Amino acid sequence: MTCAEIVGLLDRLMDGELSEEERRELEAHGESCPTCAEQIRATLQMKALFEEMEPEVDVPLAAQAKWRRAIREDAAQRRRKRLTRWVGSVAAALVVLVGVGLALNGGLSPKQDSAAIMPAGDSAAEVETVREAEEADRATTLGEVTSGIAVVETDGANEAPQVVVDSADEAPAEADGAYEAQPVRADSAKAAPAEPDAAYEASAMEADEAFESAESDSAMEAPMVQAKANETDAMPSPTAEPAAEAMQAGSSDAEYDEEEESDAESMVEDAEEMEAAVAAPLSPACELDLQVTGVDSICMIVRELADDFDATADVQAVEDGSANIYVMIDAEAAPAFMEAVLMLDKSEAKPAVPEVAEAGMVQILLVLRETP
Amino acid sequence: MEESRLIQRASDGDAAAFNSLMGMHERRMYAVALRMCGNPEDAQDCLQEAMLRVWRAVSGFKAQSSFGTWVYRITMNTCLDELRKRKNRPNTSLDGLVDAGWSPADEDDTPERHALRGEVRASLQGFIRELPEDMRAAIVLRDIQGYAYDEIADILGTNVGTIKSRISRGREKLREKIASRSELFDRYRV
Repeated sequence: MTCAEIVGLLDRLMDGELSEEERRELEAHGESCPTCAEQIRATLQMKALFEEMEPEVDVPLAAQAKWRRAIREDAAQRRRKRLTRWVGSVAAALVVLVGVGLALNGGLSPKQDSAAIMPAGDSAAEVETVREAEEADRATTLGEVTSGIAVVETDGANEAPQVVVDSADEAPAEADGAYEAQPVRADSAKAAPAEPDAAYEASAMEADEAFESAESDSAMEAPMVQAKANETDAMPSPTAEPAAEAMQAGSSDAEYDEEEESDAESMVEDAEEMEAAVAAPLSPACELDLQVTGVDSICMIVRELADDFDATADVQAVEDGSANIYVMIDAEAAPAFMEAVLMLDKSEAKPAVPEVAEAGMVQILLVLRETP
Repeated sequence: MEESRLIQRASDGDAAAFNSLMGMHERRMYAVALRMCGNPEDAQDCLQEAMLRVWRAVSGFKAQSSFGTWVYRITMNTCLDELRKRKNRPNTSLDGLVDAGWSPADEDDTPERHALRGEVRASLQGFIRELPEDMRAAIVLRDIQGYAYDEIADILGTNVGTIKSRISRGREKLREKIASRSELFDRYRV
């Protein structure tokens, strides 16, 4: 065994792979070579010390609290951005419609309505066009918008919804001054990580499922979701004593879960309220009878339009092939919506847009009959 | 709740699920950060940064690889990034490392033995900190964290041969430093 060959054996020694024969060879060489004897001794010392180093180290409670809070804040920020984008795209769609309406409005007379009416066969293309206009970035010119898009006559009441995005960081940037807890002893530090698991198991499952169902695609929920998100973002910073605060690093997740749960519950309640409102046998504020070609495809278009106007549309097929669509919509948006829907009408004498006397959310009944 | 379900929820943006999931990994991540950075303050900064990186990337995690390996890859990369940024900063004191991450002392410890142990441990941690970063990463993962060679290669994004070479050279450097302070280390091992 040469001195150069020792290195390989020393690595095997460190990895616990030395055979008995190799161990004897190592010892024998060490007895005759002082330099290698020193290397062997140092290797054994290093190995013993490494074995005293734990592969897992308790994280000081203040540091635990800090990274957990950073994650929650990042999650809240993402939700805000998502809602901003959603509301922004609805607003942008309205801008497109209004813009086209302004550009085309002067060229239309009542007798030319039939030319502007979309042939039923192009309805899918028209829906696609509306979507494309939404997805492009918003300041579209007339050239980019095809004649398939419904014309909206602006009367000043049809403004894009005011988007109030709470961009201020409500969660305090750092309550770091409060987190001055000294690193806690190992055994008490071990208690903290268990808390988030228990809290999560107990309440977050419920909160998650309620939250997910409340976040499903319903146009009516968006403004409420935004408001709730703003409330959620204003998570109270723990105000207890520094030491107690650090100890609550695990339980602050439970606080968050409770907030999420109550927010999610109220969102679900609001959504249920809205659905109930649509389904309830309210007497509609007004009714519009339309003659259309292809009731089914026109129903789809009306649904898309309702989405664009932040309204809900409940379609009920009737035996004779016609359809009743109950639309819940904000009274201010109702006239523009009905104007848009009227563009789908194929009758010789177009009905007039009915007045909407009420304020707030109103129900409109659209009756779609197949053109004879 | 099982890990895969927590990962799924975390991928969907569930911060509570993420925090619960990472609660199972944070002590190992911190151990790696502590030995790489060489002091608790920097290690805690690295831990936070690593957590945020994992959070932002979790929706891209592919189930075919091990989540743990993936997390430690991100942790190690975070530490290496931080070390490169702080290259010119003077080394901080080793005091914070004397107790953090070491197995507790025997009950019949004498004050002299206790002091000797502290000095020996601080010296070794200092030697590790003096290693070039790539050697340090390989040594920490192998000799302290106990990962297999192929796992280390996976975490560090290289091949087993390179890892074995780094570990062998790193150990050689540590041996030389220990041998240069043999009077201290020999006393501890009596």
